[in-house]
Amino acid sequence: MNINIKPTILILIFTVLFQVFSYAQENAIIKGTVNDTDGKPIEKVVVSVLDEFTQVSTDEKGQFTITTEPGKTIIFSKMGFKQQTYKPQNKELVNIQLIKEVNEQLFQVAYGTRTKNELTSAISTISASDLSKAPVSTLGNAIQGFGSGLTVLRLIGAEPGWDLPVIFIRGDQTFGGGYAPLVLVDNVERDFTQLDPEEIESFTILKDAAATAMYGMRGANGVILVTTKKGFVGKPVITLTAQYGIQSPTRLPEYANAQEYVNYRNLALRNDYNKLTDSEFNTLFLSDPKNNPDNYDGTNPYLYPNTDWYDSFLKSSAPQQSYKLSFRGGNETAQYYIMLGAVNQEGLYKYTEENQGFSTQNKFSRYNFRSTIDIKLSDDLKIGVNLGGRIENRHVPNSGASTIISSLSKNPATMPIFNADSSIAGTSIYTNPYGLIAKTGFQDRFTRYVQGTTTLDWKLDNVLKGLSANALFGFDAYKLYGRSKSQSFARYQQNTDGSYTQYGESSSIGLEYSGWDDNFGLMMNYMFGFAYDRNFGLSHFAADLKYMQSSRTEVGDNPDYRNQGVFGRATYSYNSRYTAELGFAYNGSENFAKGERFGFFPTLSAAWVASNEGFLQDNDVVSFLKFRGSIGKVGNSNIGLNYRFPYEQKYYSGSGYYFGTANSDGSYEGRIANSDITWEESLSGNIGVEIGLLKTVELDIDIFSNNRQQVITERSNTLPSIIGQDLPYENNGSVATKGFELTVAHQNKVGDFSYLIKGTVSFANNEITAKDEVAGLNEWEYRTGQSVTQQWGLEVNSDKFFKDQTDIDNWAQSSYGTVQPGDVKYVDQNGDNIIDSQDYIPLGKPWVPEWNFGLNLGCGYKGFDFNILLTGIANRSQFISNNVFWGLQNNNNITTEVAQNAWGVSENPTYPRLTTQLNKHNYQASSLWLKNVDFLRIQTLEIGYNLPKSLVNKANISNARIFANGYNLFSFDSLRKYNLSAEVPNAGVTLYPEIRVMNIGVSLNF
Amino acid sequence: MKNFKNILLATIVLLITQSCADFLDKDAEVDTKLTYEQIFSDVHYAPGFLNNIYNNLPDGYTRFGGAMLAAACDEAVCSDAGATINLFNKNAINATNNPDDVWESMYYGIRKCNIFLNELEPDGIITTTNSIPVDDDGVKVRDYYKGQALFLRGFFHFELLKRYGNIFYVTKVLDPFNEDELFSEEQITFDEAVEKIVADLDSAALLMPEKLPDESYNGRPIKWTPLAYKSRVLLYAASPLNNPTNDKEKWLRAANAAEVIIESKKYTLTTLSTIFTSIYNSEIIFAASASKRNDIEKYNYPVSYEGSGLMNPSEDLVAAFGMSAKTYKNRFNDYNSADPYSLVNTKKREDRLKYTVLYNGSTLKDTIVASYIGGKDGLFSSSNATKTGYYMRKFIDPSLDLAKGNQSQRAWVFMRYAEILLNYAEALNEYDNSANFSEIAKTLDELRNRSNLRTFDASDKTLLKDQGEMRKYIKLERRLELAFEEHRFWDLRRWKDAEEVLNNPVNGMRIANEGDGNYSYTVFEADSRVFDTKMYWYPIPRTEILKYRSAGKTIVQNPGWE
Repeated sequence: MNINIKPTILILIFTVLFQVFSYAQENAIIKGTVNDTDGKPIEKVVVSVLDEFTQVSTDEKGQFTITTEPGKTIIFSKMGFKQQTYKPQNKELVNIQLIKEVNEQLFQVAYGTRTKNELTSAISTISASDLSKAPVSTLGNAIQGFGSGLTVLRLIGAEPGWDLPVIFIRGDQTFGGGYAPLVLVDNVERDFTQLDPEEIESFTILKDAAATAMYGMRGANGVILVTTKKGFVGKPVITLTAQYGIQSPTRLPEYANAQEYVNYRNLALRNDYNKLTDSEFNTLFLSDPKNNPDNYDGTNPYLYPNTDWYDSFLKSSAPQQSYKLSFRGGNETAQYYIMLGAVNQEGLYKYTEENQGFSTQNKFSRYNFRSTIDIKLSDDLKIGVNLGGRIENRHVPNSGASTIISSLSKNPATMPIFNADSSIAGTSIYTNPYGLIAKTGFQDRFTRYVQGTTTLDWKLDNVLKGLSANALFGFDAYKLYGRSKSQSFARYQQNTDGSYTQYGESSSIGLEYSGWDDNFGLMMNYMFGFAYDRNFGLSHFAADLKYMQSSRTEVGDNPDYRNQGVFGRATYSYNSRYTAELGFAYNGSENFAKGERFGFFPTLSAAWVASNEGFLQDNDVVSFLKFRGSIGKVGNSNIGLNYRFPYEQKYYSGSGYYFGTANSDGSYEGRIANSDITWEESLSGNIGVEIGLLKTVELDIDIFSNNRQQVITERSNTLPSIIGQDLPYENNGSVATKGFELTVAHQNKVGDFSYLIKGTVSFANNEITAKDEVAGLNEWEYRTGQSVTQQWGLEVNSDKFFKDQTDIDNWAQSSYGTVQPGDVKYVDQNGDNIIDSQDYIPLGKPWVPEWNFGLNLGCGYKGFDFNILLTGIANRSQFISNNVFWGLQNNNNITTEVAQNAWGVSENPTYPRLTTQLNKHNYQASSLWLKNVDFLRIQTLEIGYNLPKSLVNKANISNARIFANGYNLFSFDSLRKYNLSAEVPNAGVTLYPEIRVMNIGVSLNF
Repeated sequence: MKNFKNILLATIVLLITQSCADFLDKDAEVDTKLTYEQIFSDVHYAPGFLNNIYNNLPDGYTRFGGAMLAAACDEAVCSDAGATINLFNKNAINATNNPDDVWESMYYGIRKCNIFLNELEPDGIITTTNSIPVDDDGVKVRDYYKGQALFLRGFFHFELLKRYGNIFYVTKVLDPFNEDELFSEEQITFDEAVEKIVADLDSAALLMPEKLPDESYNGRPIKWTPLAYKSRVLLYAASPLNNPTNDKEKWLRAANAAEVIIESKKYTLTTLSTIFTSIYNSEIIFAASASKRNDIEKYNYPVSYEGSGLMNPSEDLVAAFGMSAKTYKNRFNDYNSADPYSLVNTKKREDRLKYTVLYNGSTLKDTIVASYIGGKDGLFSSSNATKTGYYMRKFIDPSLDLAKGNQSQRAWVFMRYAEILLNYAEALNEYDNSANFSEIAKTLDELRNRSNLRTFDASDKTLLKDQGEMRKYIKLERRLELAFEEHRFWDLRRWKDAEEVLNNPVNGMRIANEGDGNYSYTVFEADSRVFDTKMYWYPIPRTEILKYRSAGKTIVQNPGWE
């Protein structure tokens, strides 16, 4: 695609401006009143002249005076009323009647909106105000707990700017790997996680085939639609929000102190060297003063220290702040929204200001910008220009968070931070976090992102009433670049004789920045089509037909990623009772061979609003009742392989061989191609019921069944290895996913007291129904019949640990090393007397939780408001294989919780014997390490107070709100006793910690 | 307004025309994909395809995460108790967990050979495009490349054959979409496979030059390489495991194959200290890539030298090294068990011990290896410390300082001339000891000479004229000369000695410091060994067996593994 489009856009913009400023003729003064249908005057009605900036509003008597030239259209608009226009012929007194608008909620659907009555598909929405209740910098983390059918999982700790979660809609429905939902911001495929919540108007999750029909080949994993704010007709509103919060680590593991550590380590050594006699053991180990716990009494803090690593290197809190300023307003001709946002988040490390000229603190700052302008060029032509941009700056010490946090977790308390001569302490095994944080240099990573969306809407009523044409051009560019300076540090171990042994070498900070390559990415998205929308009596007919193409260029990953297709939808509804909708897409991806590229994806859906039928009309109990159903086929072209163009046979250059004195040329064949490879396909059905009770309760239920077919897999399980090459990817797996979602909301007002209770429950269960597997395996080895994310491990026998050598001799052999009493006793499932991979059985629950819960409680009284969100997941297991459970290995630190319950220490042990050695046998994936990680968490809590209008209006402020909120406040789960996060068990152990945020803020509207 | 609408229309028309039907095709300008034709018609990539095959050669230093095959027999103990190599010693191998399973990896190499050979056919791309010239400055390049591919195909198949016995000899490029053809490949017998390997090796030899055209070819096989391999293949084929009727002709054939190499006078024995540290030396017949490395040292240096001390020679191996100044018959005279590594001239052990094993008192990097209990490298000094009282000396480059990250060029040696001499001696002895005695003795004396041992004297000769005694001697000599080189593991199998030898524990030497430079030495059981006769042949991987059976095809699993 070439770039000739850019001048075109410029011409468009100039044309717009010219149109706006080119009118200036003789004026007339028009006076009048505005009343409602009952004849009562309405104040603050915006009275404006079409195509001009002139604008006034009515007074308390409903009266106005406006100057314009005769023949111009005057527009009367006010929220809650239908807009009216009037064309005065001359000076005259105008009487206008505004009709109250039935405030019908509109739901965002693919490329459009739908009323509740006409909505035939399964969607869920998250309100923009909910997004701002979580004081987190990454928006992806703020949607957790909202929206039915949505699973948000955090995989890594809350390192500022790096804490992206993974998102599933209705669970993980494929084992091919491409599970990610399609995300669109303003109808263009874009990431939303670094947007500012302030700039978001609506957040919608499209769940069933009918909802994602128009995305065809890309719809099967569900779609997230994010729409940014636009201007409106009315007086300008200026909003200023300032927030300041403190982040603090939620849970950090608690490790043994020096004396405990030495005691436990001596026990472990005795286990490890059980072949030694007591006296030999005493001579070899216990006689070493380093192994005598009594020495760690604090008298010699350098030779016998007692270091609390977490306390020494992590602050108890770190600040974050955010500021947003927005302008929103407009008239009939032009509406605008402008937003500036800034977020600044600091890390938790101590010792970050040890160097002159630079800090090694973890820092994230982001600046968001958005400017949206919608202009009515004429009665039938509208243009929208939406520009967004952001700057993300990340600054980190040159040592990664996992290296630093792991060192805190692993270093025993018996190692000092500094030696007596104030050199950095350390040994060949123990790396000092002081050095890692302060003396390895730093890195900067910069991201610059611009996105532009231009839309055109052209009414073609003169061709056919109800017809319009529309077009969209999306243009995104980003640049990623970075720089770093590195240095290394020497560490010294003080020996008992006072001498020092040096490990590593010190260097000063590099003078030059060592840069990363600049990365420049470009995305272009074109879409245009026709829409038709018209009422015929009681019938309403709406149809869309669009063409789209998009291309995304990423440096180092050529050629472009491209999508292309036509898609459309036709909706017919009668009398707000019956609606039927037909959706389709015929689209393709560059990733498949010609001929296998394009697919046709039809869907059919219908809704029946029973409450509009005679027998239910005006029913006091059932205020709303709607049934809807959808069925259809959607696809998934994201085959999740990180391997593009699987249809073509690849050959590579490189991987030569060293002959003589040099490397020689090389070339080789890649994985065998499959020219027939194509998308995954999902046959999806959904039935929904929406119920309104007593006008205060809303109940939505959805039940779905998705059958994912053509899942990408390879046939390595059934084709012989004598082929001698990686086997082609083929479309021959399938997964069945079933589940339901339930949302109950109750909203009411009793006097000045209003309240809201909203609960969502989502359940999705999947099962692999076909996968390439041979006959003759043990039944527990089959993946078919199991969940996509089912986990396998060894089953621990009921008596858990070997009690003595006889016990070992009478049990199956381990293929994972020599065992001794106190080691884990696994069940030999196949009875071959060898414990090995064939004995792995499905254990616990899937990795992606089957249940997701959210409970939102809110209330307001006069100026006060209160809101709390509880989130939870259930039916999820995780293997926890970090130092909290596997302590002492390699002489790492150990938690007392685990040490006290170890074999040989506790009467009723839950953990194997203590050992200083890597013990592959005990640390196999097994039921011992598989933990139930269900949790229920106070996700956010907010208290706000709107200052009395009487007070703030004096300062020209229309509204002022002060608020305090918190994020990740408390979690109920079974990992509390280990001080681990149930969602990210490695946080604080091998990953940056999870954080809790307490935040205060003020929001002003002018 | 009208203007604007025109512009809009123009824009839409522009979009429609640009969005032509081939929008989803790859932009040829940025498509860097190479096609099959491009690879084989290119003067760099076509030979590069062959070069790449060499990467599939197995490297004995790294195949088991630093442990070596020697730890799966009586040569050594691996200090990491959790190392997969130990499965051999516990009789805990099954058809899914074999750490030395190469079934798949060898066929990867074989496929590459077959693809390359296809394109060397008269109608192949290499031939038709002349991307590898027939003749370049007098070197018959295309023949040479074809010879290499045939040699490698034979090499890979022999790796399979010695392990699995019942193999598929694949000579075509198999297509996963053609299941009929795939499953029509059939297993062949051991002897049939030997003939096919020998045929590939013979054809390879005919196509290759007798010496390297120039130094840039260093590391590639020459005519004698496949012929030397043939000696090994035929020796295995003549051995008791594969020659139950003891067909003497098989031994003769093996002897002749070895003799060809000796007669070629192409190779000589180098000095003991440089066999493995000097690349491309005159003793090396075939070795892996001579890359810069220090992983051998990282894995095997004693623990106080920043190494992992993984390979710990057994006391059984150490005890087999005789005294330096003695004849074969009297090789243990003057041995003093209270001073086993004596520095006293008359009590010195033979030279090969110090080039094979680091023992208590050995010098490494100007420091004494202290493997006595309580010493810096001693038993129990750390979790990786020696389990036998010894560390491996063979292969390591003692000049490397790991703290400084030093590296040097080394290659895993697949075959060296010493083996040919031993193959020759063994085959001749088995064929007819008395008729060939002087030839055998002369051959073995070459190795004794190189090790500064006395040549056979009259009393030795009297002893060794007995075929059985000579057999014992040759087995001992193979054990000492070729220690840790992946020979003993296979030798014990082909001799069918494994069931006897590998059912005994392996020993270590427990050394206690008695003070004043005095030590006491106690032999102790360091590790157990169990050998089940089914281990003479590896199991064909269970998944492979199931694949054939699921498809309704027959496949023969080796005895004892069903």
